[in-house]
Amino acid sequence: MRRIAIDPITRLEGHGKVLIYLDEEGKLRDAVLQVPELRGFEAFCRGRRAEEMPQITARICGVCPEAHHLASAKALDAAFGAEVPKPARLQRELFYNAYIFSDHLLHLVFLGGPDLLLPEDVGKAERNVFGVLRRFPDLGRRVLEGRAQAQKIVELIGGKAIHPVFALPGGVAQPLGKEAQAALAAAAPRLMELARTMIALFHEEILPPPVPGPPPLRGGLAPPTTWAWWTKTLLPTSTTGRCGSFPPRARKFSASPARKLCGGSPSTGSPGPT
Amino acid sequence: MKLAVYWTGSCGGCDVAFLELGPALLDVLPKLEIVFWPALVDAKRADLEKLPKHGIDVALVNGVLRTAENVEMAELLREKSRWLGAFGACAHLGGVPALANPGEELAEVVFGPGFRPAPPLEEAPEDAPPELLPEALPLEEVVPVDFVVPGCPPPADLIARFFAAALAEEIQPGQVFAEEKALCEECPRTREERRLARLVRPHEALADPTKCLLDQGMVCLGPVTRGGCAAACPKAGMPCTGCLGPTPKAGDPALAMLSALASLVRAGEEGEPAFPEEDRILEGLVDPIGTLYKYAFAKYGRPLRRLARRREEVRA
Repeated sequence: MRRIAIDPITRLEGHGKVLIYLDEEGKLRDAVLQVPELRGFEAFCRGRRAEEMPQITARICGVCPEAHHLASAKALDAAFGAEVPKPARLQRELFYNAYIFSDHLLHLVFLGGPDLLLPEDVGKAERNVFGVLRRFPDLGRRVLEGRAQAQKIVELIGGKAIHPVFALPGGVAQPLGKEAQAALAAAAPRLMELARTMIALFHEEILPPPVPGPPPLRGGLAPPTTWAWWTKTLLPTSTTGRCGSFPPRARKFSASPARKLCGGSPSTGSPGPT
Repeated sequence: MKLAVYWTGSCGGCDVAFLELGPALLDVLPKLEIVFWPALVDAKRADLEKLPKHGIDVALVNGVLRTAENVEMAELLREKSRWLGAFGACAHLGGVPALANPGEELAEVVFGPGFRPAPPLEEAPEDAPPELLPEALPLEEVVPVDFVVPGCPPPADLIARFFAAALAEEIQPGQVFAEEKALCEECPRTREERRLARLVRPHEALADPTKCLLDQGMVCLGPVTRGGCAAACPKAGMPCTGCLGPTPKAGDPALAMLSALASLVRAGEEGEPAFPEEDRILEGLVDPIGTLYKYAFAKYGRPLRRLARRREEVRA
């Protein structure tokens, strides 16, 4: 029997190893994905203070703590039966949008970038964030600067960028100060410019050339013009930005009422986007 | 400088924390040779095993030790490294996951009663999933640790301080890359009252933006916690929860903080008649273990756990 071990799996958040066993003829006998890690949030969250949950559950993942922080805060809003006042809701949305911005940069350049941006002949020693930074120093600097600005916005609102502290049941810990508002306004145009550069880069360097046939499904938001990731449901959209519904098999896993979110006119039963 | 970064039981936040250096990362990068870093680089455990003893200049371990494999990796990195540092609150103190301690039943709580991991192939018994340790442990419980970069995760300034020292070969044995003084020293809030007439939880009151949170009745661990984060949480209107670890003066953070709370609490005039009311105020401290040992239960909570077990035995 031949054993192939990929230990550990690398360049993604989380622990894992892959074990592949082949018989004498080289045919697959068994393959195992092992996740040799358990911290046990299900156990140690018990008995803690409810209002601590947004901070504690953020530690599920340090790459997307903002998502866990707000998911937990939403659960607390419901548990306390507290309605979030508009300014607090906007603060949470702005926080999350800034996070989405910074997370896209993180993925596109530093985590996925080694696969997306580096040529095929680059070996494993160079196929990483450091290889990307060496090969694209100017882009690397711009992205590091842009990400730092976006993270600063997350931090101004959330207290800390990694493992934020600001969300509480029914709202947030404090209003956004004048100083923070000025910093946000100053950062916005520079970040917009970076976003345009990155979108162009994505279309020119990364996206494969268009293939004939119906446009592929892609993730979008409902309604597609509202960039409120943390309150909306992810739905497929067409390349023109119109909102669709998941095909029947996928819909089983989506608890959201697509009809309501899409303004009452989704093409139910259609296998693809409308 | 040959650098290795590894995560044991962790969230990945310590790995992302390096990117928080921003463009300053580009100044450090040319001086580093990354030999092992699963979050960002494709080197495998076998590559690490092939390195000679002390083939790594500095290894940073983040995460709590929760499995037998975590311990093996900690020992392997210790053997291969000239300097080994605990990076982040989990490796330093046990961190949030150590609130599960003792945690003997952890897998059963998570996966259901009677849970057993899937057995390995008969011919490959070495591929069985690693055993869970009975307790989550900080790094220093298993291998000698040369220095600490604390925080959950470590703030960018402290990481920069670490790199400056490491690249200059100036790390002091036992060095903790944070302030020895308490967080209060760098907190912009003003402390006046120095008495505690009530305890409030963060969601129960809108904090005054300029006054000390402890003065306002919130259990803020600033007085017993190292500075080094520019008081990030108090600035955001939330009490410090102690992620940089206790100051050398405080020692056990829960005992130090309980002592501070007990001496600050005042119900009317000083003296015995006020004691029952002062006791009642202190009972407002909900979940003392999770609040005062949020990151440090593995390192400091053991006597308490021993005491609880002893009490159960006596009761039985």
